[in-house]
Amino acid sequence: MSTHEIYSGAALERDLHLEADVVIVGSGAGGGVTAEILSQAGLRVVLLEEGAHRTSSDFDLRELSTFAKLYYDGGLRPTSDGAMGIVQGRTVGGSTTVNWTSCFRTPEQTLRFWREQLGLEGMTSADLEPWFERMEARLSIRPWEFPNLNNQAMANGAEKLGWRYGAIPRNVLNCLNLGYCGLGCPMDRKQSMLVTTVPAALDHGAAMATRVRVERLEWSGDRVTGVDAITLDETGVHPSGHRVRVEAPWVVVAAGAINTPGLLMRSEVPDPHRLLGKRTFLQMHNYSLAVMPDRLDPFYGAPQSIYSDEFTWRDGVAGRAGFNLEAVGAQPVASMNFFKGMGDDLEAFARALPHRHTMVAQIRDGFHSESPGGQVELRTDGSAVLDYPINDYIWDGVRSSYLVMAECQFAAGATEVRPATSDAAGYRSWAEARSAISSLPLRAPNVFLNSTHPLGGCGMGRDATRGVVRPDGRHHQLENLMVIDGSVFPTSLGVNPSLSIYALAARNAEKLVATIAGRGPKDHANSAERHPTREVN
Amino acid sequence: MSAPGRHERESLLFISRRGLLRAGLFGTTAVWMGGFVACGPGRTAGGVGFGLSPAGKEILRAISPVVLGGLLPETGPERARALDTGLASLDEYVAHLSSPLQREVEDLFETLDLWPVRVLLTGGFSRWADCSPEALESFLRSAQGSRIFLLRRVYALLQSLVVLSFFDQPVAWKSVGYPGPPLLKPDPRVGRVENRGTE
Repeated sequence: MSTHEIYSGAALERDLHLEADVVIVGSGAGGGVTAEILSQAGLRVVLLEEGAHRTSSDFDLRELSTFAKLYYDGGLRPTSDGAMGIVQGRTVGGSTTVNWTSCFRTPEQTLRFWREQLGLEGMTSADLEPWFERMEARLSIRPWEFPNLNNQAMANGAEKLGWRYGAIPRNVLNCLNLGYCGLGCPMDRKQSMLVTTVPAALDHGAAMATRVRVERLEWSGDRVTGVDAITLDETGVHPSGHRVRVEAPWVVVAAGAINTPGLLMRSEVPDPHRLLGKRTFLQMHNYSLAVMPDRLDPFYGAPQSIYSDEFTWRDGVAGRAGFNLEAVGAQPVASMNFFKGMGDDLEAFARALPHRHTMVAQIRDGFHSESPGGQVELRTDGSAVLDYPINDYIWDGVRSSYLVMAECQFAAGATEVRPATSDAAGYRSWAEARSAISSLPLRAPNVFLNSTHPLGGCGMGRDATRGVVRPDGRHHQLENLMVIDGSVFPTSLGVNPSLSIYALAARNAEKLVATIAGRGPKDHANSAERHPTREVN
Repeated sequence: MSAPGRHERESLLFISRRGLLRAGLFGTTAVWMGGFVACGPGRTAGGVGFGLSPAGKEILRAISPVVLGGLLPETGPERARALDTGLASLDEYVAHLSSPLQREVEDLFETLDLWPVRVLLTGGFSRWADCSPEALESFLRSAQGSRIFLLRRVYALLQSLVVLSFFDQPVAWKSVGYPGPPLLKPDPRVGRVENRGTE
């Protein structure tokens, strides 16, 4: 069995200087897929990851310590005014290690909007189909047929109301239906990057350095010349005193929305049209909390397996804020985090946990002139933060989705429904809920909003005036720089984004392989070496 | 929507939203609230990035019974143990947050611990640990319903930290009907990624 070349910044006692054919910053949905494809093509890859290399033997299914260790900012990464939190993984495999496995193809409506309104070419459903098929096969993606009671309740509500709904395709293999996807699959059944593409890349000779934070891309003229990183301690917070430098003819940034544009901004890469970090989308999640007469035990079973897109496009692609609907099942900390009351209210809410039915609406953004998204900014310490003002367009989506979710939950038999804002009460009937929600004050941060789908900020555009990168991921100004992650989407998607990222990553990584092959040895700096990467001293 | 319009709309008293962002939310509150009475010990330098400060623990310990109501064990030793265990888990959690977020959490507690701020928020001179449950509840409720975004954010953060610390513990699971995670044995048929390199 081959020995994997893995460095941990927390354990390094010296600086590290590596050379490779391609250096990839980030090991999540974009970086993992890219690493596998490039290393299988014989290219020498170095993968840099800010998180630690934690595997199923570390996954103890305890919530708080897992949030601390596997998520950026413990799953609460705040927007600049603290009005809401962004949930992103920070571990080998990125968010795929902790996501809930919902895998949708990019909706036709979204692709058509990109084509007709933004002029993007080569992105039709037919263009992307082979890439969806390839990643669906690679990650064992298929509709899940065993919804837990929590998800079934949502299906019952949708059925009763005559709404469109369906089974969610999940990237799992022999899933045991435990329900702990968000805490890292303890049985390695989730086909995350942690157990699929990253180990495959390591098997093909890729090197990986974990607990390193990339500070800067060094560039000159139209080329990136090196990647400079620092090592981090065990917590991933404090520098541990060493530097890591990687030089490679090609640089792929796959650090995800917010952090990818943040790195490019810190590096002061050319941005002649002031597009970098703008149009960052959240597909903001808001929640409705119900009590059902029977026990649902929502903390067990696949957390997400039923969806409805009845309202995603109802008022037209460019109309009022649309949203897709899903059920949410989680363990106590995550479930209680939706509720911001206290005292007797909190006690009553908590004691109903086994009967709790939680729904989420994901409000798509970026399709309307009143929905420009947020802007990534740099703090004085160089870290990236998202400024995302919540405007009336979003609040309209919040209110209309509160209404729809309450209607669905009452149709499913709920005895009480409460929108997840501390300004609301629990309502006993659909009529009461409808009237109360229609006049409910909506204000941050009392309305619990968050996002597990940060997207954009390095949007694709066919020319430099319309995007930071081209549709193939190549940067418009720096010719050997590529962005392969969720930050390239020019709008949010209207669905959970993982499969869209996997598929586009596969396509663009294969294009990079072809480009490098076509250019010959110039881009194969180390092709004579047998060792996967070369450490330079 | 144009940027200036947006900022005018979201302006908070006389402080612009953008100005607050620049100074850091709670750093600004400290200056703003401390400025009311022109005193206070000021912020200590250093120490950020290693979990909860003593002031943070004191404040969270004080408000936990008010937030959690009847969920906290009633008897002395069990109650103390639930609070201690919860705060220890939370301490470790906070120590893993990014430096800017840890700074924000620390700024929050430093600000709340300034005596003029305590007087303003709780209506008395007592330290947080000595405030009556009624005073604490009244502070939390008025912050939650405040017209000032900053105070609503203070409430949301405090409430969240208490909830995170409490519901992570087995003692809480019992009271909410969560049997806990399944006990699992690793499956030898499934391949694992092991570090055989230099890590």
